[in-house]
Amino acid sequence: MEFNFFSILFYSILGTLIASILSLIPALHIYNVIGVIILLYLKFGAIIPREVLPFLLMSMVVTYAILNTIPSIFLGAPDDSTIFVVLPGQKYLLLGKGYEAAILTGFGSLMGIFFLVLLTPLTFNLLPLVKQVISPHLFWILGLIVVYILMSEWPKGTERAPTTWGRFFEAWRGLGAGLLTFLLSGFLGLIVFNKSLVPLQSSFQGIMPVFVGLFAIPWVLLNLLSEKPIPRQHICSSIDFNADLTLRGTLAGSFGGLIAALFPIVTGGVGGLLAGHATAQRDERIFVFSQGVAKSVYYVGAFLFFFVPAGRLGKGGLVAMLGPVYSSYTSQEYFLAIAVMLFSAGIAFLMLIQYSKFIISLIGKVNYQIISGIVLAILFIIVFLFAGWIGIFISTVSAAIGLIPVLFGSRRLNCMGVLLVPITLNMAGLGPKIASALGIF
Amino acid sequence: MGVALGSFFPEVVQSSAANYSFVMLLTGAFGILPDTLDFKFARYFEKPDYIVELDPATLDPAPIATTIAKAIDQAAESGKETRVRFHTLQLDYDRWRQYSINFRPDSSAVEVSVGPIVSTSQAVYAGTEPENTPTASANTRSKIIHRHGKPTTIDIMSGPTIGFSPQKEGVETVFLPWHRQWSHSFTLGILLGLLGGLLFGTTVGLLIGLPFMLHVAVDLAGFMGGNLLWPFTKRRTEGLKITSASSPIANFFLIWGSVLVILFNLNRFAPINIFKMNPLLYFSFFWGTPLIITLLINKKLKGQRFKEKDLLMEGFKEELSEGSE
Repeated sequence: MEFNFFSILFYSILGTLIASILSLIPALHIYNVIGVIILLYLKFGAIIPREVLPFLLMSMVVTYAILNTIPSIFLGAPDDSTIFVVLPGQKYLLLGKGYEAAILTGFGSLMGIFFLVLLTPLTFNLLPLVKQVISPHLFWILGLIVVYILMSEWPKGTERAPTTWGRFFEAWRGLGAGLLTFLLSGFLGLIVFNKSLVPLQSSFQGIMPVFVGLFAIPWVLLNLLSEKPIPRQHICSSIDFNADLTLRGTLAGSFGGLIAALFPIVTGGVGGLLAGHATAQRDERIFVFSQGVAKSVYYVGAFLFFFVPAGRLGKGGLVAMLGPVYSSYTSQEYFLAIAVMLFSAGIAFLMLIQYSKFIISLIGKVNYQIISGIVLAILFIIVFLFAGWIGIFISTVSAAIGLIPVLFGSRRLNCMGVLLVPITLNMAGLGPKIASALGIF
Repeated sequence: MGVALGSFFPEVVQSSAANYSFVMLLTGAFGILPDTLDFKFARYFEKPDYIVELDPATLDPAPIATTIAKAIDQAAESGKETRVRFHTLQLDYDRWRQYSINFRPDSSAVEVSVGPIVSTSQAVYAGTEPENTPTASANTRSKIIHRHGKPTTIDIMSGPTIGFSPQKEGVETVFLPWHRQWSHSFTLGILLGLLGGLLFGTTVGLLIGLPFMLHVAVDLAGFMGGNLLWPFTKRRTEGLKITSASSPIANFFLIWGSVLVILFNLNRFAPINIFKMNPLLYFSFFWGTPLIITLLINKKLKGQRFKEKDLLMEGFKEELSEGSE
């Protein structure tokens, strides 16, 4: 295949620009738009040359991975991979340090991109072997992740109830809410994966209303109802972060991001949790930074590995959508993808600085509750456009589940039961049997 | 680590892949169980003799120091362990007032000092230290044995409990007396393993008991140790103090080592080996080399951290001297 340098450069810039605008729209996942682009390509192939299509998408994914920090922190509308950025991020926002959180996360994302470049020798030689070794065991490895998520949530109360049982129930209220969230999300996942709820023409967006409901709507609703004003945001000129913290955060985030990029249905949030525990990170700055690393390694890595010739390493919705249209046959394509990734990451990081300042000025002028109201309206409009009224219904039900951890202070990652339960069961060949036993098949 | 141990059973690895068996989940679940038992159950059923907290209005540490001294003397006189629970002082959703307790065995005294305000991730809010740092001291009639050596800091979430256990030489401080007791014993591991073995067969028994006991054994590398042969032993056996539970490097390389062991064994017991590598070479290259590099970088950065601290202190001193002029 012949590659034209200027053509790739043009489409990389175009992808970066498009994604830089789309990333600011709360809850609009870049895969939703990429799905539409691939549909358009299949219908009117001539508008985008086939050889540049993957590079256009690469620039979009990279830009999204870096810039989706903005709606997560400033508008309180996270997705499944940014929920860990949100809580500390919101804390930073309430302390007037939202800008610092955004830059710290963005810097983390940049380090994640560099990590992917450094990983190149292993990507070609070792990762395909690792994938081959673990493939027959994936179902129980995912089962282990479920066990870990459920067993590693510790009580968060201050234990001030006067009696033993009072303290016990105070702690277990949060833990119980976490278990309930996981069970309900898992049940919802079984329904969504076994019933065709979303119209056929939007089936590639099937899970989107669920994710918007579980992760974005609850937090936006809370912002809408909260009477706590957002303080004036400080635009700092430097960040209190050094080489030591950078190294520790990059190691932790890369480890988590890599797990998420390699294992099916493990998202950046789950990878981040595993990495945070594996490296016993307590410093909030490392936490925010490493989530940025994990996010970019997860989003971008999962797609970059797709370019390894014959490696069949990539994973996720984008690889599933692009797979039938494009295959990578030479290492040249991998290195072009690396070049596009670095180019877009640099531009996206510079945009993050400017966009953060712009959003901060907006927050300063407009009432935050009005902003939250607009965000909520956008969420519903996007869901409606992609999945119709049934999408709105699914989002509302999902939001009811997503509100449980928000209201009870338990771990929001329990909502990932929506993917972990049905897919783990399906991999073990138990999904249809259990769905049938529950009367949903 | 429990899973890494489970991966040494060829029949378990092979039947997992061939029969879609979830039996490996037992290794993970029982590997975490000791801490689950402590942090989700045991801690709520301990009964403290005293509960103390810092008065938000006065920030006076004296009542706390006096209560601790009273608890120590009570333990010595009654011959029974006394326990004091320390409540934290939460100021708002992300701000906590820190205070610390320093046991001074040399002068048989307890010192309590009020510290700065910290965030939930224990980051100090600069400039929030109370003026003339309030400190209070109380003397005890009994000799204090404080093996940990360091002050105990109380700041976020639920505060700790400290037990005062009478010994021949004096009264020993026991940090978190509910932690790593019966739940962190080899005896409970053996009991659970036997129960699993009787109900589901030898292999399941081993997959339950061994990861549980491995958790107890690995915890011995730290400071706190565990009550290894409960109920035959009543006290925790001290840890080997090789590393601390909060060390990022130790944690990472322990987990990374486990991942490497799992991969090695999954490949070893697969019907067709995907890779062939000498185990010594495999672990030296993928575990030993990154560990050495990390330790070297850490050593270099540690030096840099001290330099940064010194520079900060110099700057601070300069500012002070400029201010006094």
